Amino acid sequence: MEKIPHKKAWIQCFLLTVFFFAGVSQQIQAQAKNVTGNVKDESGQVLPGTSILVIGTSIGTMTDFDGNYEVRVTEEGKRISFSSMGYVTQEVPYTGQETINIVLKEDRSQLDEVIVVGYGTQKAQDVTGAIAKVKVEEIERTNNTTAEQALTGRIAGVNTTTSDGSLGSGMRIRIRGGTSINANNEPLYVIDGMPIEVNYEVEQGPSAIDGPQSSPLANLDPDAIQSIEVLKDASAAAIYGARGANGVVIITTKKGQAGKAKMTFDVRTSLSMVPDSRFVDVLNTSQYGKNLIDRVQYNKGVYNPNALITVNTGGESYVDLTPEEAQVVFDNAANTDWQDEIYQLGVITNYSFGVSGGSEGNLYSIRTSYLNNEGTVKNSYFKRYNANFNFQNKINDKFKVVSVLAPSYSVKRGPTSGGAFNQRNMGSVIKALSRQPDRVVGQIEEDQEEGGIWLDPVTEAEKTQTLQNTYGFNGNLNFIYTFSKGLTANVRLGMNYMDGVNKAFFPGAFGRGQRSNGLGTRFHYRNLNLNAQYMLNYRTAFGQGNKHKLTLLGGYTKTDNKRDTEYIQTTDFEVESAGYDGLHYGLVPLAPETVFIEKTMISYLTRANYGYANKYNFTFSMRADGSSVFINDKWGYFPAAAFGWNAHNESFLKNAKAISNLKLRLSYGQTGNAGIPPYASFGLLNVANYAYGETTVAGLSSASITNPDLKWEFTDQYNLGIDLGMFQNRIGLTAEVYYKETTDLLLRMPLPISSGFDSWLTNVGSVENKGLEVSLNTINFDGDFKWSTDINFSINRNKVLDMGGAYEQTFDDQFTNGTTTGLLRVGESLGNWLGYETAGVFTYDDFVDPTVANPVLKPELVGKYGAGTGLDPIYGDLKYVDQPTVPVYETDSESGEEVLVGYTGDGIINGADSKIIARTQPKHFGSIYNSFSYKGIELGLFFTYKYGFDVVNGNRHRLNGTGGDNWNKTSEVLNAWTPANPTGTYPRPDYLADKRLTDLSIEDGSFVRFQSMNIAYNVPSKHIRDIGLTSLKIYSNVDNIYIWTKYSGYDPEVGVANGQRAITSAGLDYGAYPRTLNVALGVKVGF
Amino acid sequence: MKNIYKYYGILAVLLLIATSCHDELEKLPVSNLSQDNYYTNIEELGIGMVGVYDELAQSKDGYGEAFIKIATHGTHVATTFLGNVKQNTQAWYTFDNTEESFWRFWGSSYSLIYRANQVIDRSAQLIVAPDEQIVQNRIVAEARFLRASMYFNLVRFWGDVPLIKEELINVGNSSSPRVAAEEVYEFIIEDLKFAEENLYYASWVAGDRPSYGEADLGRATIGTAQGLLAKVYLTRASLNIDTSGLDNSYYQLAYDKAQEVMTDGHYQLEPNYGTLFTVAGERSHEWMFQIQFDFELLQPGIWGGVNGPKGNNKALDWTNLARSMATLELLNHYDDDDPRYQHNIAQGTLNADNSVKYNKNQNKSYVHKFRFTTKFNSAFNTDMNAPVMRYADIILVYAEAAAYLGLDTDAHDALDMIRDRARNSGIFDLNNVDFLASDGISPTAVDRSLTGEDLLDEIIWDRAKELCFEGTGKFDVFRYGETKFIELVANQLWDTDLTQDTNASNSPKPVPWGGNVQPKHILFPIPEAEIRGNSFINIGDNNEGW
Repeated sequence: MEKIPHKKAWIQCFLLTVFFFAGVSQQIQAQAKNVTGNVKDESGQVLPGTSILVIGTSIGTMTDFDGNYEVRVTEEGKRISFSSMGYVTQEVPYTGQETINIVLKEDRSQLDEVIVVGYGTQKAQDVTGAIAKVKVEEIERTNNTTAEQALTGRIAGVNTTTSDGSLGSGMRIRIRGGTSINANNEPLYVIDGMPIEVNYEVEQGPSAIDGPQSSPLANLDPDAIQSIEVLKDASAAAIYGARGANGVVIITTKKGQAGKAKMTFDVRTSLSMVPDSRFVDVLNTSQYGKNLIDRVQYNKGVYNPNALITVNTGGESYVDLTPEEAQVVFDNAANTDWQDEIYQLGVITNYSFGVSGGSEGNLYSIRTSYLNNEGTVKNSYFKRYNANFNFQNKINDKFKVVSVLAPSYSVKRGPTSGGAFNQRNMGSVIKALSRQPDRVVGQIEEDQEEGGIWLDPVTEAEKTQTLQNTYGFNGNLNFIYTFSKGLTANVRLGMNYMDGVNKAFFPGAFGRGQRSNGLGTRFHYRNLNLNAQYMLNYRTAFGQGNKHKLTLLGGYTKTDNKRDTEYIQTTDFEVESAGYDGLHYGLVPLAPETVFIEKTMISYLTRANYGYANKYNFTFSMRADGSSVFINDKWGYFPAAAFGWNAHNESFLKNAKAISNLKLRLSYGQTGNAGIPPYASFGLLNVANYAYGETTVAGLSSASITNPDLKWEFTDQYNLGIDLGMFQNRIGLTAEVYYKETTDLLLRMPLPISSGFDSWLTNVGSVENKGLEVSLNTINFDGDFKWSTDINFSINRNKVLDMGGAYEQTFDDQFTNGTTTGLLRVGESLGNWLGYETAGVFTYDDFVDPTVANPVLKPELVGKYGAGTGLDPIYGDLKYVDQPTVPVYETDSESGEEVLVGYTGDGIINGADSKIIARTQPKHFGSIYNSFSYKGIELGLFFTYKYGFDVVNGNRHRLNGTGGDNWNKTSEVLNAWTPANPTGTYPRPDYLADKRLTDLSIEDGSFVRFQSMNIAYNVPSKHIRDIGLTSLKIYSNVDNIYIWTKYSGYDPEVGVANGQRAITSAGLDYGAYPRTLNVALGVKVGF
Repeated sequence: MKNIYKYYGILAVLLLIATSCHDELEKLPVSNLSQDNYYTNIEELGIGMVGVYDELAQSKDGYGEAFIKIATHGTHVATTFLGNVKQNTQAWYTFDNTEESFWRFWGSSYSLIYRANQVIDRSAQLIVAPDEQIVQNRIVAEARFLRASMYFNLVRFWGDVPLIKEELINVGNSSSPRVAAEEVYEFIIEDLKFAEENLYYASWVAGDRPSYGEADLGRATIGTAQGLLAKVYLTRASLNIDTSGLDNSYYQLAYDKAQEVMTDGHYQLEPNYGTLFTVAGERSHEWMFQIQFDFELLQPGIWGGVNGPKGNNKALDWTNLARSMATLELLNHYDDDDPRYQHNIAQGTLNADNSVKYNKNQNKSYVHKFRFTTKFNSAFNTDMNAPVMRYADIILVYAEAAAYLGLDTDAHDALDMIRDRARNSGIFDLNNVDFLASDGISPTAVDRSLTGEDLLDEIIWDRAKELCFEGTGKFDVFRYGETKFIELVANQLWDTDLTQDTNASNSPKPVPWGGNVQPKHILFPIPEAEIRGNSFINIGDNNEGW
């Protein structure tokens, strides 16, 4: 192959720089002989990029585009190994040949695949627990802005829910259901050996805005990920003890591979958009006007022929119009589609450059990337800068250092999403939906009903400022020392640091800043997580033919978390132009709030793996965790045991040609959860000042009561798994059944409020999760044309078993304004909502005399239905079901005794009539991925679905249910009951909102989503080698292409509630950003 | 040599493990103080006491919001006009024991009791210098006064309630049984007697004991304790009015204590009725106890917003979103030219020039009493203090006790004190922020021939006209007993359109929610949130009918 001299020089120059950074110099080779040859696969295709290593030396190379190689071998008798991803590695002894041509066999078994487990790796065939893996190829098929997105739909038993579609937003990841109610439910993340507890409250401060939450992993570059392993069962996760109850997600970033330097440059541009077809169907001006007119002319359900209408279409005012005249005014008024106005075409550009390589023992991988996401909501963006250094340096035969260093910076700007109940703190999306269509951009006006001066979402997005800066560093150094064969020690010192500033400024002219003549806030947090691991590892094999294999692990780890925050708020701005960076211009500062918290965890862990004849594998592990968050009961002990049986290695199956792999796994283990705030055990004094007359005097009062006996939450988990491979693994099936019971829940239990406190955190109650997971992989066609299918299917059922003797607990949410809608009830699952059942609206048929203005309900309906207004129902009122709670007795004619004959309603609609109206946990969910390839062209189609769950459409509830007549409504109100439309099923237009959550706002969220499509073309090497490239891939990923659902909102896969409400107010769609359709085109160049 | 390295390596690892002492698992809170080692001197005791007052001004609980709903709405005096069913449960008697205002008010009351118990108990363990003892006793007296105030509210609303006398240390003991109302009253009286002995005088009073400074406005005084005691005696007298009847010995105690307040003269009637409900009036010597609210000091209250003038969208200074409404009964009891009527109620909203705009679509008589402009765009929040007790109330207590004791002349004299002041009050003018002269006719002096039931009925409506929307209404209708309660609350009338005189046939008719009022409503139901957590109270143990 011809070399391009200047190119080579450039590369060498670069490599020198790299090695300067790595602090290592390449070893100089001794004089030797050259061996040349060619590597092909079984079908005769050449295999470029095959690693060639002379075993026992640091000499290695790679094949070029034509599969040719040349390697220097110093002495005869050495063995040369040829390895290529996806092929069985071959070793050939060197006996002085000048040419060695190799045909590599495709590896379908993947039994030798290395699986990353807690504190180590295992061969797939030795694994005893339930561990699933997402490989780099799978990650690359979708456009992932955050690392968690790569998990969507990939693994059975992992339920991912985007909290919303805003930039860099987080995901709720539930591995085998939620185990906890008041403690953390997110899995533990382990990034290159460094455990990181994900806490969605991380950037939350006492901010003036309720914004969407960013993922704590948002600063991680998804393109740097080599693989993601998910530890699902207890035997796998128990090694992480107290933090393993929600499963463990192990993320491994890209490492260097021995051989010539490989450089890749990847550039990808995506367009992202909210298609019109997904817009929420709100009224246009004409319809909105009709609704307003109907409110007057059909007031209280009675037609008023003399109705006169006052119209104010934002500026123009008219009084005493007839309905017809008023309609004409509306028909000719401005008609703004606010969704059209607020959403724009977003552009995401992604550049990454990576170089990797090295000789055996000294490997490097250096990556840098830049992401610029111009959002689909006006004036929003997310930018991220990443670098990732991975060095493996063999200092000498005994000592090796692995360094992973990943600094990052991100900046996010944008209006808020989600948000609070009132207009003041409402996010852009709910503003866009609720803004009257007869208003235009830039129109500022006072809203008496909402008590303030408001404007449209577009102007607000342009004039208010919010910015989040996040500086991150994640890294660890792993010092590995090999004492003798099999015995190694390693010390891993890691640090995860996040330093974020959230800034916001709201001008005094309108909205949030108006109350205080300008409002500026700044929240600064620093989270430091230091982790030290000291491990001893012993690996041995003994007995006849090394039948017995034993691996022992013992270690000690310590984790320190420190969090330091400041919050500053200033109001009353004469000078506004400096915005959030000029808070000192505010005349009235609020007392700053400073919080420092720290916690420490100390752990001892040990694990033994024993394998016999590649048939039986046993794993035992034990971990002891001590945590500073508890007072008296600091230590928890977490054992696990597992057994794996490789039945295909048994003699009786050796001849079963169809079965290439059959493995049974059985495991049991205990994991824990201590995911509570660090000082939750302590009775703390809070500021409780009182203003006497004109003076504020310092005061303190108890905010909580000490609970010295608080301890760990325990989860027992049983898992039975089967792995089946048939027809040379052309069919691969993995199925798991599991049962999890979490006891000693860290549960907020109600206290009698006469104690002075309404609840305390204690260890009572239990929750169970049980389920079935199936994943099936098939290769349908194999040849030039290849077609394979991956199917995942999961069922999880969870149930509250006990709540410390209480039958149920209720919780308020963040959008129905103090109504308790969250329900936990013994025997029911988590994530249920309490509300009112309705049966349409009251119509003429329901009343004795439908001609009068104050009608009387038919006697047979009394006690069955009622009005939510507290008054007697009238025409067009929402028809509440008066739940049968009052026993009805009849006198038995024979005995004369009172006999219970049934139940009836009590005639009043109140708390007793509420019931479960929404269940937000899917009955089952899954995905199917079909991949096709033909000569360098690849096509992948990915579908996901969830079935049988409810979504609480908070937008609808807010717009139609509680928003006043100056709010726009969704199109359901067009079918309102009026005297002119007596078959209407929606409450009459002037129906007074009662703010209760009814089943009117609950919708079935079941969906099938065309999650993504990936197309790629690998340009054949003959076309590109002349320009010095080793590979060239042109690809396109399209995400979130289409969704089939009955849900009327943007997206049924949503959940905006935070913290504990993520459980008790799950599945809430309130002002959530729509998910975008992304079309990406990318080029990946290797040279 | 190699082995030595190896051993050193192992030693180093062991060393690391051995030196990492587990004391590191002891992490104490640093940004917050812990209650376990506080209250070590008189200053800290004082700071803890401020924390007890703080509970009075919580934004949604207690006097911040819940009290307004449960104490004023749904009485013979006031209701709400909203269509919002959640806000109307009190006014329309559609509540059950899950009602938010109930648990908020109950919880806030007991939270204050916890804080007061903490101060009282920690003080008992604190030995102070002899010259600090008078301060210490005053602090404890303040705590006991506030504790008594809370129990007085609780026992009037709920009857038998848990009586918690000590700071809760062990959560295992958090449940307490309900005790008989009589016992609660004994405890209240004991606390108030201690308070009376150990509190300070109001800042303008000089006497044998210390006086507060001017800056201490809002602290309980000797006079406050006496006044509350008089009210406690009066209410205690009518306890079990529906069963065992009235207790004259308590009327005597109420009469004596009210008379003591009147004789002492620490508190006086403000010459102009309207002044009381303005910014200047907050320092009036008629106010005996108020919850202090101040917008600038980040302690805003919504009382003024809910019960102030309702401005329409043209109004400049009065952009309140008033939510309370006077009943037709109250309107009918006032003489048209009673300055209190003209001050307290407006049948319409305010225009830009502060004139009242009668709105055909809003057939509502808005409460107009508290003249506190809401701060610009701050919703309901104003500087308006929550009224708890003023001197006029004590005079009316005196009148009522006297009437029960057959001392009719004393009762007549007391009522005339109140009426004289009202008659001679100017009418507060929103435009000039000043008083216009009254016509000096109404209310007329009390008919001296009134006696017995007639006199008591007269006192009921004199109280209503004087004290309406000040949080005494529900306590009064409960105190009057079941028959009066139903008569006053259920048999209310309303007029579909008070202002539209063209439609004469539209005669007053019964309020649509009147049918909801039942005898059981004479006491509130124990909140569900209490029953759920309290092992001593079962669902069946609620007040009769609940």
